Formats: sequence, structure tokens, C-alpha cells
Amino acid sequence: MTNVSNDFIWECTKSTNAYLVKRKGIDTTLSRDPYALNNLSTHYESGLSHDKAVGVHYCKPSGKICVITKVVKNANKPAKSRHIVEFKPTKSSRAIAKAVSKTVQGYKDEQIYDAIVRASAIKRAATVSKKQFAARNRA
Amino acid sequence: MSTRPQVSVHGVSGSDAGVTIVLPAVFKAPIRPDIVHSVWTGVAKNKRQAYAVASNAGEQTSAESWGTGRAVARIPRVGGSGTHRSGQGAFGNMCRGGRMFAPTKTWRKWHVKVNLNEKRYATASAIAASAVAPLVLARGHRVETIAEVPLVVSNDIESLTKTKDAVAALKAVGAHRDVARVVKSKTIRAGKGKLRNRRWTQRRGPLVVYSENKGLVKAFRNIPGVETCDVRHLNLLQLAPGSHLGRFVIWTEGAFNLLDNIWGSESVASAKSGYSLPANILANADVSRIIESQEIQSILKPAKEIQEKDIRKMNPLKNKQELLRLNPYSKTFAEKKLGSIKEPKTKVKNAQKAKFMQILKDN
Repeated sequence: MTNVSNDFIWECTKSTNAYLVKRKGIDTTLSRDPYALNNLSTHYESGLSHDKAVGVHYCKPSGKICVITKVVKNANKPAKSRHIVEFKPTKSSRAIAKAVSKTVQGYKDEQIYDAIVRASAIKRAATVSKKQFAARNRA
Repeated sequence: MSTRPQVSVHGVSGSDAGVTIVLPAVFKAPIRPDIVHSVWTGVAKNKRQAYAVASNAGEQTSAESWGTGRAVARIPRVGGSGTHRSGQGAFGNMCRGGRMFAPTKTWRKWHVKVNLNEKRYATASAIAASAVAPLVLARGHRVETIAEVPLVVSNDIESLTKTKDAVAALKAVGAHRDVARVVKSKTIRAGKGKLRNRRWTQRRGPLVVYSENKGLVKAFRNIPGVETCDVRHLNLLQLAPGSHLGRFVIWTEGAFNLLDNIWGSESVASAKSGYSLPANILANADVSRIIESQEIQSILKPAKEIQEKDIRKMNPLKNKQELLRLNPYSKTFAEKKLGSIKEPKTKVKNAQKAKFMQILKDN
């Protein structure tokens, strides 16, 4: 649509959108936007107001980490506008970081760092420590 | 603005019907949230019904003030004796059983006149916004599974008569996720509204816009959140609920084809007499792209070198780079260790002694 620019969409949606999260005691406005890498409601992070956007997610049933990107040419075809790359849970965190950066590279270079940080955090959270400590009876 | 993209028509069973339609000109109308908001606030008031307290409420006593000297406030008091009411204050808004402050009247200004052209502008804006996927997503509609925005479905959907078939069509087209969201959202309203016949709240689902009702309205009317509307009577309250642009609209093919006749285009005159769609100030709204374009860049003067302001001061004694910048000699100075060469020792003590002796001699 030529009469709609990304800046305009951000101006339209920044104060009211379905992803917006405001909480008492938190000064920043947060976002549930699947493309918000730091979960912040900002123009930079918003997937709504960018033709190209990157999101990193954890798929619960499979335990996979997936990187989603917006397909530019399918901007008005929601069913086809999301490209998903999945990484197996067995992959080491270093390998995942490398793969994530490779996926994002050349697509949206300025968000490589954010994407890796998010992927690493997800990996860290998903990894269960092998050490099992038995509960001790404290007399 | 002469070229407009093609929109494909989708079958009721979800498949591509193989027909494409040129996007009607309304979808190129300027999207103006400010106009939509101001029109919406006016139009939304026009469904209100008058209400008021009884005109004589709190005024049905013969109370009169006792005046001064009785050591009570000078509010009118109910006369007589024999009941608890006698001697109590009356009339005032601060009194029990008194009338309210500024009693509501039925002749309040309930309705707001909105200029017709503004209403049309707002409606055209809302229609245009319904074709922008990010705005539809921002309104909260679950349109991740639909094939295209705007979503146009073949005319078969107009002749559906059973709700079961309507639900199947919504599922096939990928729009049922939005209905599921509506169903899930149903909760009891917070506040007094639930005593006033507005007990439940729920989200708004898709709006089905048709050109001919061959059973469609009855088929869709019991699906939660789904609303239906004739293209000829599109309503801002349905196109932008809460004045939030980007309602998820499902157009029937016939309705979509009629849009150019109703709103007009470059070649077709609008059915609204003497009406033409508002024009965009900019043909291309992407300002950053215009600035970066070859046409603009080629006539711009070369960028001036920006002098650095606020250079951070470094301590040259601690920062070797800074030291080198200020004193290029410092490198050789350090390499030759000139700083640590000791001066040849002279016999200072003896020299002083000799000088002293000389003075003595001279004297």
C-alpha cells in the first residue's frame, strides 16, 4: 500500500495495539509482539511497523528454538508472511547462536546481536541441569 | 495512483477461485485516525436513549426552613410531628431523601450532528485501514491464517443459509481463529453496566460485508463476534469499533466489486451525489524512501563535514594514544628510555665546600 508507510503505522499503533503491555511499577511499556526481541514496545522492535522483522521463540512441545522472519513480498498475505527456521534442542548454545546469526545475517544485520541474546537466553532457560540433588532432611 | 494491485477471490472451501479483482479506489483513501476518532465520538452518541430521574424526585414535601435561632442549620425541614421524617432536612442534595444535585433531564443533548463529508471521509479511511495487515493485527484480530488482506470470498458465501455451513466457510478461509478469540474473551462486565443489560463483554470478530443477502445474515448471526453488513450501508461503528482502525473485514466478491460504484474511482463516478474520495497529500507516504531516492539525492549538495563536538578529554598521562597525539615525540622518548637516563653525578658537596673556602679566602 503506497499510502501507508511504516512510520505511519507506528504512529497509529504505538499508543493502542493488541500487543501492548503496561504494568504498575514498570515505567517502560512492554510488548507481546512476536517480533519484539526484547519484549519492548518501541518503533525499533515493532514487527508491525517494519517490512523486515526478526523474532526468536521457544516451541513448547518440540523444545525447538525457532527464528521467525517476515517475508517482505507477502506483506498482505498473512498465511505466507512468516518464514520459520527451527533449531533442534540438542544443538549446543554456541551452535544455536551461530545458526541464528547466520539466519539473520543479510536480512536484518542490525538485529543479529539482539536475536543471539534472545536465543541464548531461551536456550539457557530450556536447559535442565543434570545435577539432581536429593532433598535432605534438616534436623 | 493509477495502478492498483490485484486482489484474488477465495472460494468458500478455502481454495483460490482463480478470479482477481483490481483493488477498489477506496482502499487508497488517506487513513486519518484523527478524523476517524472525532467522527466516531460523535456518531457513537447517536444511539443513546434519553434517561433522567423523576422530575419531582426529592421535592415532594412541604418543608420550609426554620430560620435562625433554633440552633439547627437553615436547610428546609419537614414540618409536623408524629413521624421520624418531621424535623429532618429536605430538598437539598446533601439531605437524605433530598433531590440530587443538578437532576438529570430528558432534554439533555443526546445526539451529535456530524458533517456528512466528514462521516464519509472517516468511513473511507476505515475501509482503507481494513486492508492494511499490520493495522488489522494491531487491533487484535487473529488473521495469521488468512490468505490475503483484504480478504475477498466468492459470492457463494452470500447464499449460505445454515450456521453450520457459515462456520465451515470461516474455517476454510482461515478466519475462524478470530471467532475462537471472541468466544474465549467472553467475560462478565466490570462495574454497574452488568445491572443495565450490558452484562457480558466480548471482542469483535470479523465483519462480513455482502452485496446481496441470500441467507447470509441468518447463517452468520449466531456466530459470536461476527457481524454482517450491506456494502451500501457501511458503518463507521462497525468498521472502526472503539475508533480503532483495522477491523477484520470479509468481503464477498459482489460487495467488493460494488465498492468502486459506491465510492467512485478515477474512471467511475460515485453513487453518492457529487462525491469524490479524499486525495492523498503524498502519492507515496514513505518519506524516508523519497529522501533516499535518486531524484532527490542527485540534486542535493554534498553533505558537510560535521565537526565533532564534545570531544571526550582523556588523561594523556594514563592514555598512551592521547599522549602520542599530543606529543608525537613521546614514542621515541619512551623507546630510548630517555626518561630513565641518570644524570652524571657531580661532587656537589665538594664543590660547595670549595666555593665556601674561596669566599673565606677572598675575605
